[in-house]
Amino acid sequence: MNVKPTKTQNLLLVCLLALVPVLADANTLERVRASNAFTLGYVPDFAPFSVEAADKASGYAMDLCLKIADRVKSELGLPELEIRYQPVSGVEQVSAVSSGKVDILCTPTAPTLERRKTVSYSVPIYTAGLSVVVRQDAPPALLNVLNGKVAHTGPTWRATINRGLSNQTYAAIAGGITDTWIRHQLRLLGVVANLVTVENTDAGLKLVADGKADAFFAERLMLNNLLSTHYPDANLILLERIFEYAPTVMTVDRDDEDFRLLVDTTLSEMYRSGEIEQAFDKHLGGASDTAKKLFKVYAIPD
Amino acid sequence: MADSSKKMSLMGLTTLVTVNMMGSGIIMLPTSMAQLGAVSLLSWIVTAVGSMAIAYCFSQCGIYCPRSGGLSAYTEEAHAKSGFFLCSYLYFLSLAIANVAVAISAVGYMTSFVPWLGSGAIPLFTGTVGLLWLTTVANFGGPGITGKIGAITVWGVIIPVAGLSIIGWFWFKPDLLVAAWNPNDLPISEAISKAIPLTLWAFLGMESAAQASDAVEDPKRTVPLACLFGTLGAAVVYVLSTTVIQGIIPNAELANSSAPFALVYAHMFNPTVGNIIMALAVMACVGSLLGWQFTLAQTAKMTADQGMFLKLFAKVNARNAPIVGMLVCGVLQTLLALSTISPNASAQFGKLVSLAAVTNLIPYVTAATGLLVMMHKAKVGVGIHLRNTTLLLVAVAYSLYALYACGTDAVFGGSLVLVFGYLLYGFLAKRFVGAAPTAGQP
Repeated sequence: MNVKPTKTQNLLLVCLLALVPVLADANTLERVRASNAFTLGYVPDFAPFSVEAADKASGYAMDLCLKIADRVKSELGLPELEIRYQPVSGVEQVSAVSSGKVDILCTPTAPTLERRKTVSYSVPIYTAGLSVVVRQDAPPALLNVLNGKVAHTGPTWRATINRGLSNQTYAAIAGGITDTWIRHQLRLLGVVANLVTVENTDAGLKLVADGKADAFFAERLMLNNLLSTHYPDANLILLERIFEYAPTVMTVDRDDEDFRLLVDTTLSEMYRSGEIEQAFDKHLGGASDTAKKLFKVYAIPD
Repeated sequence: MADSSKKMSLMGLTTLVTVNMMGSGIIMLPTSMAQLGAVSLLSWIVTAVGSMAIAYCFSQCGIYCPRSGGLSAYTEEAHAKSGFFLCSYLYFLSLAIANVAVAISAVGYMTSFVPWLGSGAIPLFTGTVGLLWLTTVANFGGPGITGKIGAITVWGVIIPVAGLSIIGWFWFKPDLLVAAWNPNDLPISEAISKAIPLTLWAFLGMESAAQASDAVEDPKRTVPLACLFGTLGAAVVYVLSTTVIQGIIPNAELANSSAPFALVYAHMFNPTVGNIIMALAVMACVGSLLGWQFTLAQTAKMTADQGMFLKLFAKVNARNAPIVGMLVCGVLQTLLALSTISPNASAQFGKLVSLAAVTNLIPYVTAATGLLVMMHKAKVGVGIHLRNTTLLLVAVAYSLYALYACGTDAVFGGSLVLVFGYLLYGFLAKRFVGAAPTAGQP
């Protein structure tokens, strides 16, 4: 018997197949519509991106997420949509999104292919990167090297000032960038350096402030935040240069392309309208020229 | 001859030239070279040949032009009175600035023994000024005393640096040198071009023999020989010591050392020996400062003798030392040393130090070219003329390359200083109106 599938049967099959992912894992927009609530996940104490404040959260990433929530309201036609705030610990960032505990993780994270197996990502919202803090009175040779220039230009002759023990001490967070990386970057530029490792950003800044290290390498925004909160007059300065660029993103469900499209559309429009720049001014102390160039790179065209 | 005991011997002058050239630069040289790898040793071939050509030209000048005046006198042969003045002016300026920088470096090295010196801007300033005046006053005894002190401090170079060139071979491991050859995997041509600036200016100072011609015995013989031997000695010591050290200390460790000679002796013997070596190196550095302060005062004296600097620079005491001039230089340098007090001022002073290398190099070209006129006057044979001219071209080419390599900023500053010199000479020139031209034919 040779049964030819009818048009109706085909349609039914398509409908059934389309239901499969929904059955396996209810998608974000459906869940929001069903519960009439949009849950923003965030990592608390991650200033200036997301900080817990009463039963809400504030910060650069939270401002962006609220914009996304506005768009969800208008697209789903739910003006009374409830916005919930759900703190997420560092380790459960991925599972909170994949299990549907939160609809979006606002706090920026660095994407990896491994995590892409369980979750998906928005366009980048912030360019993290390796930066360096020095003391205000850092010698010009050290500043030159850290800014990617040769330590000393001009003739090197008997009169070239060498303070003898011009041995520099660099600090970095243990398990972060390595000794090899720093040596590879700086050796050719002609500076003698020792490397010490520290527990966290705070400890590194303290070493530089106390004069026990000459430069501390760590993530730019964390440095910026700690400098303004803990070291307002400690004579420490953060150099403009970013050594290694690392775009960071918001985490969304892997199985809802419509929601991801909504998120990326909101962010791209914010990039183009200058709203992101305003958020930078408000939370991150302004956008550098490089950051502004990257805004154009990150925004997806219409 | 009662007078000759107050003057310098050939040995004394050769020592002065060698120590002057190495100065404080040698102390860090192995570290800088190790940062590029042992491949940087190839750059010595270029720079040693060029420097020997310059030294040869100066020694020939010394033979054909035995009058007092050093580089400026050689310059006058081809470039007349204004050349004499500009040469002295540029060279004097170069030394006045460079000596302050050497003093600052010497204080930097001393901080490992006297930590107080490194504890801030005021201790650094105090140390620098103290050292400048110490080396000024030590020169009051005249050239004979300077030569004798130099004969002691030179051991600070001989033991750590020259000594290493000899005994270091017992600890030398060829495989370490091979491993250190090119740690950054640069193309050889690029590695050499990066290394040349490390060795290019290491020979500045070979002219100090000529500048001391007033203060040495039998200058017609002593000056040319001291210039040649001093440069040759420095070249041998530079090449041997920087080679052997890369075969004793693994590259990574050497490239990261702030006291490479102390490190190598600590490695060969024990840390105490390393500290002694460091102390000796500092002593040599101070010795070279003494030599340079002497050369500075001599340059001013010779120029004042020609009526081109203030007369006070020419006054000498019973021991043939131009004390008043030394005091004036000391005051001038104390003012320059004020730059150590603020970071901004030290950045500006750093620019002056680069500029000083330019004003040191311009006189090389003006003086060496004087040889062409000297040979013409002396009616030398075709063979000698050809040989000297060839080496002269090598010397000038090397000097021009060294000037070029000083970089835009330094050459820019040097040019402004040079042009300003023409204004100064404009005020002086009337003194020489009517005097018979001393050089050049109608």
